[in-house]
Amino acid sequence: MNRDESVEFESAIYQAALSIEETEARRRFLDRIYAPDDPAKAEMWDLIESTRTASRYFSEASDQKVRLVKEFAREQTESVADLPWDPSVETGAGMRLGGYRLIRRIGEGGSGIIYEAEQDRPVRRRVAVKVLRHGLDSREIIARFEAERQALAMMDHPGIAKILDASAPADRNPYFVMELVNGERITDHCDHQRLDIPARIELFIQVCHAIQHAHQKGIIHRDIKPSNILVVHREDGSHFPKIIDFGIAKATDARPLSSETVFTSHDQFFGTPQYASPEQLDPSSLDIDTRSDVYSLGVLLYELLTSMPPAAPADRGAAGISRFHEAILESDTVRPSERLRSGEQDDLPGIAARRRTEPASLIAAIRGDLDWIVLKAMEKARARRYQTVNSLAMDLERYLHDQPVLARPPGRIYLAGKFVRRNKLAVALSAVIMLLLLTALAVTTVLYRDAQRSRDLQVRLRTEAEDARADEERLRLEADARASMARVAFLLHQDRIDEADALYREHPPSTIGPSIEAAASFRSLANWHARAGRMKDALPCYRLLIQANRFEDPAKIMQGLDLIAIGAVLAELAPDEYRAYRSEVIDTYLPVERPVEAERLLKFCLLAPISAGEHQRLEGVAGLIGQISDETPAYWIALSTSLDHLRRGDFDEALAVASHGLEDEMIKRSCEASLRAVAAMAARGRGDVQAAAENLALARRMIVDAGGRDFEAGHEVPAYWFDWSVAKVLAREAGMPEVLAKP
Amino acid sequence: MEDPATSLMFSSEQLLPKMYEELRRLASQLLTREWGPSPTLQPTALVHEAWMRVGIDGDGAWRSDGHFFGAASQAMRRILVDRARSKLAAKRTPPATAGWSEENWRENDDHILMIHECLRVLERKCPEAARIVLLKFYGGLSTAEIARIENMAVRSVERQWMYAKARLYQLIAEHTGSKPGQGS
Repeated sequence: MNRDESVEFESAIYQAALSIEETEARRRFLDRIYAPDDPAKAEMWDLIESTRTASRYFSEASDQKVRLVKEFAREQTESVADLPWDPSVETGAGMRLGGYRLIRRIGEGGSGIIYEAEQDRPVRRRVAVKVLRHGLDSREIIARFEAERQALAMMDHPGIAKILDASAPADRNPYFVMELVNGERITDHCDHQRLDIPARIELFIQVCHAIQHAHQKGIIHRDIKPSNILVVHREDGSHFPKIIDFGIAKATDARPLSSETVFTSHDQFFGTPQYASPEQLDPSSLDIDTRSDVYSLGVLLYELLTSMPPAAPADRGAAGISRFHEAILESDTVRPSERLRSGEQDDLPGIAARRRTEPASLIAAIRGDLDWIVLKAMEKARARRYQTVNSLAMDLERYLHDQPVLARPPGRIYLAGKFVRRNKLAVALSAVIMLLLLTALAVTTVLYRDAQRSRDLQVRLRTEAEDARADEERLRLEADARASMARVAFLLHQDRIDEADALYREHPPSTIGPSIEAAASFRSLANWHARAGRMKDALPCYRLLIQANRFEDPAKIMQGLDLIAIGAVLAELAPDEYRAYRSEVIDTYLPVERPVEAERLLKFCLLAPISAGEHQRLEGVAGLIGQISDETPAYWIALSTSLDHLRRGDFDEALAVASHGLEDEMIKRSCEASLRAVAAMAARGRGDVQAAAENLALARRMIVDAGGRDFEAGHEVPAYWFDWSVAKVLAREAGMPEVLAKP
Repeated sequence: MEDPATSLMFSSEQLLPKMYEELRRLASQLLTREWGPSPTLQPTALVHEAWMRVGIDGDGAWRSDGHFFGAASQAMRRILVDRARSKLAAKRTPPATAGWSEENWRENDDHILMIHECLRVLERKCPEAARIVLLKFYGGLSTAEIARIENMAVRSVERQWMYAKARLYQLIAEHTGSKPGQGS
């Protein structure tokens, strides 16, 4: 075997062995390949064992490589550009910057150096001056600062250090002037004062209040971290937190306009990626909102509770920003109590002592509510975080007062769904369980993903922040009501009618405001009624669903079955409401993009006669149906298309299409009935009374005989109640009101 | 089976412009892939440096694409290693920190140096695997590109790259004294 082959063989064995997941099987595989005492076997085993670490090592190496190449490339460009001015060289104690005399250097951050300075005019006072590092585009910074200046000026809170001034002299680096704060980092303060957990939380709540104040003024901090939150000691022994650097992060967070801004913003990140939210680390994400601060506060709380940063130390190491972002997104945040318990920190007794407690009691105190609060604040998807800093603070207050907190382990409803599955109470995968699971999913998963809507929400949250407290209570009641609603559906399905009834009386659907989250419950309940044939009970639920759906992304509605379900019930029971809703749908959901959606929308709109004007607007929709691929059976397409011709008054074409659809051997019985009804109407339109009567009789017979069940080529298949509702509506229109009577 | 096109002897006049363009394209890809389009960064600068490092002296004639890219990747390797070394030397004087100073995001380029050292060992023990590492890691070539210039199947390149990484990592682990993997 020559060398070339040797690598080929070994790499092939290596990969084959890797593809076997189970360790013992993998061992047996190697036993088969190698002779018992072949040393190559042990080598191969070691090789396989080190695969994971090897990949990681190389991914870190790639980060290093990228960094070195960037540096190299930067030097190439710097050699032609002016060398950036380094403030540490030319500024120093004693020198003047504008109206400020620098006294001494008091700190250094990622973006600049901070000096204590004295101002002479208009008042003589001490201030802090932050001289920004090289490379930032001064004009841009000042422009951004000016844009925010008004907002910054409106911030008036004892917990926020004021930004007094900003300037970008032509020959110097830009600088910010802030209120001088003499305090120590919040983390150091807590440890030095040996604050216990409640005291730490109270201090943290004060921080939240200050930040909430800024958020109400529309200002996001973007760089919340211990070094930006200082605790000031008053002479009377009390202390309060003060947040510095507000508004600076935004002004200096330049987007990659030139190579230097890229590097500088990266340098900044290298300082404290721990506290940055996933969306801030994501280079492709452009919009940062107040919920980024919520995330950073979650990290801060984590550290105040445990003295440890949330990410495992291995994630920090030598890895670059890309790796870090990846690690953040991939890994689940370890619960604070779990982290303390892991034994990763040797000094657990010390950590506990600085909180005036013992290790075991510390872990017990954090486990549960505090764990969940931290995790909720640090959710990777911002829609799942606390939506306001205020709600985070309120949850902590509830914790301090031994009240139940909002943050909870995921999905009690979801667990109910699982319970159903485990107990096989229903036939496997029955539609009710699917709906329950969907409800649970809808309630517990991200609902505000759509960016436009979340921006709207941000605006709304800000304006409503003042009465957030009342709102919070309402939201909580609603959440409870929604949970009960899902529970009602679940109890009903188990025939626990009395329990369900009691619960239903306590939380009737009308107590839930229309919201996206409520939509899932309305839908579940409405469909539950409709499936059982209780259309009159379903109707009010569908009315609520219509309202709730107005908050939902139209594209999402189009993907679901809501339209046809609502349309069928309304057309059957409340024709006037159907027509009004149809006009709303035409105004809201056009144009559609996918042929499948076009088919559904057209069917929904043509359940009853339509005005020529509205029909005209559906022309594009009808055109799309031609492009339909094989996801939708041809007979359903025939129904929509023949309806289209019928409503246009083109009876010949309607009859031809309907007849063609009826020839399909695989046609569903419900569709057959609908097509017969269409054929009856078309025949009557042509004056063929005989054919009309025949088709109508057939449709009617099918509706009655099926009794809600559905068939395909003689075999029973899952039935959708609305398919039959559509057939009934069309048959009734064809002149047979008596088919509506219950069989 | 050797592709006649790659086995041809090229003269530098024919090949250089083509290779120059190819390298320029790679450099620009690398730059944009890593941190987006940036008009101020010239991939040409990278190429020039690589070019010089490859050491084209006088009658440099490239036998094949493989030969050229091998040399170019070696050039990239030297640039990276040189930089990492000089930074390491500079780091021996730690900067003073004061007051509010933030924790520095520790930059560390030891992986680059370690891969370089151990790749030398692998080059002796298993040159085929080492070559894949060279082209892939330093050259930044894609699996498909390597398959083309080395006249191998794409799957084979993928497999050998995984294998080579594991082999190399074992050498690194031996070198640093840490145990590879978690198991036996």
